[in-house]
Amino acid sequence: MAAKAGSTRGQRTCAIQVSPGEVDAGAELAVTVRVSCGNGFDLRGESVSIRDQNDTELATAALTEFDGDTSATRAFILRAPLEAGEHIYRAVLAASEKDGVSHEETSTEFSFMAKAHAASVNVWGLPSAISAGERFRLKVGIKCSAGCKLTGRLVSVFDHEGAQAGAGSLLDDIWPGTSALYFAEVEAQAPLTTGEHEWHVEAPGSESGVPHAAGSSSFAVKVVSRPDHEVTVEAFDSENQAPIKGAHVLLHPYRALTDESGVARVKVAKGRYTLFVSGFQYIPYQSIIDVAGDVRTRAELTLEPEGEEDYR
Amino acid sequence: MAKKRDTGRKETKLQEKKALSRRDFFKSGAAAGVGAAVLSGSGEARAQGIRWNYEVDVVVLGSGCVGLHAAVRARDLGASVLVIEQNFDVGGKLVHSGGWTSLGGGDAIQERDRTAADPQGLGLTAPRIKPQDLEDDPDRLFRDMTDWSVVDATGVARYRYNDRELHRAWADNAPKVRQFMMDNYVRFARIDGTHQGGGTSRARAARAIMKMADKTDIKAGTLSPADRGDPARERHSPFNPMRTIPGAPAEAFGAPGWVYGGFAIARSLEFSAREKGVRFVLNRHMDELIREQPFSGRVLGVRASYTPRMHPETGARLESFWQNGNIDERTETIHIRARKAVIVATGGMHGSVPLRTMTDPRMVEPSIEYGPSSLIGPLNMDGSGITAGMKIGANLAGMMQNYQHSLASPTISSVLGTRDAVASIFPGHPSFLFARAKGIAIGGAGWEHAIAVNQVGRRFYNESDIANISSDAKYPPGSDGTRTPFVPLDWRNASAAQVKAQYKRSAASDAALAMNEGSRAPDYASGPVWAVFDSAAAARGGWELRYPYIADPPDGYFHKADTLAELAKKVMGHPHQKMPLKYLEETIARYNALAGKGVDEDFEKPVLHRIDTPPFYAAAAGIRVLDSYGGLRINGKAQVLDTHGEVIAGLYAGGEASGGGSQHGIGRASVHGYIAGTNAAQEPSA
Repeated sequence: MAAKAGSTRGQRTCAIQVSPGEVDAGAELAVTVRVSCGNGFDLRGESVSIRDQNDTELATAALTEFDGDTSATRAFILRAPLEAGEHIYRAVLAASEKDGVSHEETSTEFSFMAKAHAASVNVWGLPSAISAGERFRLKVGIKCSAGCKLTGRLVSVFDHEGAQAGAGSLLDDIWPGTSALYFAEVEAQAPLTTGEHEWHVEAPGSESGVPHAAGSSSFAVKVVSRPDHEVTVEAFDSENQAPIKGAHVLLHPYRALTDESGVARVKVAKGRYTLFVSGFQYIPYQSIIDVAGDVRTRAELTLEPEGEEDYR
Repeated sequence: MAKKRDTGRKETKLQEKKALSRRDFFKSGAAAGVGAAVLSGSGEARAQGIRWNYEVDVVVLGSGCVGLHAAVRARDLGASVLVIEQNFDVGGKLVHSGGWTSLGGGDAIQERDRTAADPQGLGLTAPRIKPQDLEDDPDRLFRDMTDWSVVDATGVARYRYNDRELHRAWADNAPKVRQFMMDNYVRFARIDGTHQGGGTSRARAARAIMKMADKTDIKAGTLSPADRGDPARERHSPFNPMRTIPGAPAEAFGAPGWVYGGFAIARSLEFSAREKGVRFVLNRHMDELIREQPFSGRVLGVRASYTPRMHPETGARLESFWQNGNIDERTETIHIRARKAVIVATGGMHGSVPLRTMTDPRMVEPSIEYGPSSLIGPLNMDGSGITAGMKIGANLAGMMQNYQHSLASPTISSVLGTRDAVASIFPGHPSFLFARAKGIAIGGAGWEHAIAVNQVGRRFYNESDIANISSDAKYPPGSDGTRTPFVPLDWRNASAAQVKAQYKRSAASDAALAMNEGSRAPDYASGPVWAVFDSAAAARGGWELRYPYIADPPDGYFHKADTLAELAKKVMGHPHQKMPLKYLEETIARYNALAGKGVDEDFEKPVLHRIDTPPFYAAAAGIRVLDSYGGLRINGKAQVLDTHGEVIAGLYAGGEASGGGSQHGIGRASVHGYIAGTNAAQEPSA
């Protein structure tokens, strides 16, 4: 809440509650005005006028509530201006006379902050391991805090040395399953040095129209030597020997899913790996494998007990 | 088929008394369909100034496993029996269970399978257990149930603390109960093991079954598709609220064409009870046990209040599946006189914070789920039988049996996004109206693809170990801490080497219940647990993120957001979430970094997947308890004892309302009910 309460005109005291006190430019605010009279009069039926810095009336609201001491409006909606920054409005109660009691006009200022829309930036979809110098793709998504359409907004990807490694613009469609996440597919080239590199993506802000703040996010790019060998993993159900489709195979940092035949082929650099094979409803399989050439291995997975085993 | 056990001449004589006397079920004033005769109350009742609305020989409080067995047994012995049940339908937790019934002592089903017979012509396939592991007798069963040496995989010696008198009586009656169940239309598949707490040396548990057919016929043991429910169409039925699967196939248990579940016991016994003249007052909660004097004399009856459950949309009262034998009594408060006895079959106590915190102070946490709350209703496991007993001087026993019991101490559910992961039910049964979501069953393996965070958004344990929950040591040897080969009463079972070798217990729920930055005085509650995952995880697992697995409209237990920041705020829709997931973004940034490294430096989770693909999800992972142990102190006759060790005349108890044993489920409750019903019916009439 951000309100200048307590200023007094005549015998009436006016307090304005604004929620939230800080809001996206152009977004809605809930306003409640409470007015008390020193004599405890019931002021229901009077109206409050909300005016901006130019004295333009933005809204009126009637005092409809009375608790025996204070009269109040119900919460009503104002829309914040598109300009970012602090805005000072006034709540004006016209002069009135009721039941032989007169009130002078009362004007009370209140303020709130309108801010540029924030950008939440997310990166996903890049491979868990990328060969040195290889081109790869990633997705960059941006969500405006007010849910604005962001089609065409530029995003830029920068590598660990600060050099731009790729760029794109947000597509017209939102990412499936989301309410307002706009995304771009960006292609970039991995560095030649192996290891984990911290890259970042930037989405510049805009001042024209609805103000949008800049956004950024960092992400890791795992660069590995070019794989020398292929590991073939066959995942089977230990009870009926049926192949398990969709089992997840991990030889960190290499990952793959098994196909219809329960087979996954993973190209890896030579070395010693812990192989994990896991499938939903199966107890994960784990073994150590040494890769010095192409390797074929069989992982037999056992089904988990159905449901909570002991509550049958 | 095994021979029937001798139940004694006295019982035979009592069984001949089948018809109800005219004093049975009277109600003062309006008869309300009870076939009433208005009589004056007894001298004791008048002395207390109580106007009894009903009077019967035996009042049974609750219609779950204990209550149904007690009611039918007492009725068989000639008593008039009135069951009062706070819920709108009969069956308690029994009707939604898996129906795995662990008895033994050479019971009829052990004998059937030992001889590879099928005397009922059920079409069973070959026995699943070798004959020598089915050779049993009550002495062996009693020895198993009190074996001091057996230590389970959590390092706890449960059988050691089982009350000896209770378990001698339990073992002696277990074979009779198997036959009793069969005599009341219950059929069993082949024995396929032993249930929790049912002993270590022999196989003793079989699933109760019904055969799929065009129509439901309890006497014939058949079940119609409509009454079963339909897994393919994601429907349960009003007949069958079995958890998770509406009537799972029993083929794997030697019964092709049959399905199994607790409904096969509950509905069969309920049918038999109604057929034999047991009367039911549903929607009625026992509030007070009435004794001659506050702490002395006989128990005379009960005071009970009207507790209907209403359809949340139509406002109509929910009704039981079967109506015959019901007394539709809607008076706010009534008094029911028990000429012979009251049997407390009210179930457990996890709905009572004062009771449940007697053994575990962490149970102040309000988000803890207990029992199938949507099925049983808001009075689920409220401990009312225990509390009412305490108020008239009853003692308690076995409260420590909850300690580290896998079913009675808190665990984290792998059924996500529902307020009632225990019920885990589809639409079609009224309890879904209250559960509102079946939940997303990810299994233990599913945790590889999600993180679990506390109420401030911090991880607290290796998620892949969440479902690593051991159960009691039991048959077969080698499972859950049982030494191989198993030698009863052998000190080696309890040796440090054995315990070290077998120890297996996830402490994930303990970490979840630890105080955190959101815990506040005076309770320092830990708050709910959330499973957080991304859409990539949901796609990998084929998780059904839709109605009826999640609620529609949303109910606060499942949330979806475009960004993690939004998700962190949305969880406030959960009724027990006190703050946004303050650290969620930080937690996931850290987790994704660890996934990149391939090493979980924080919690040693073996496999990590980045959580980065929108949309993002937070699904409540309920901390839940299923059973409760500890309750009214009873003797081998199921009579309740007072704090001086004296019998409280006219008061019996069993199952989760009683204490003294750690056995789970139908085996324990059915025998307790049978013993209580037997002895209550033979009480002198007051």
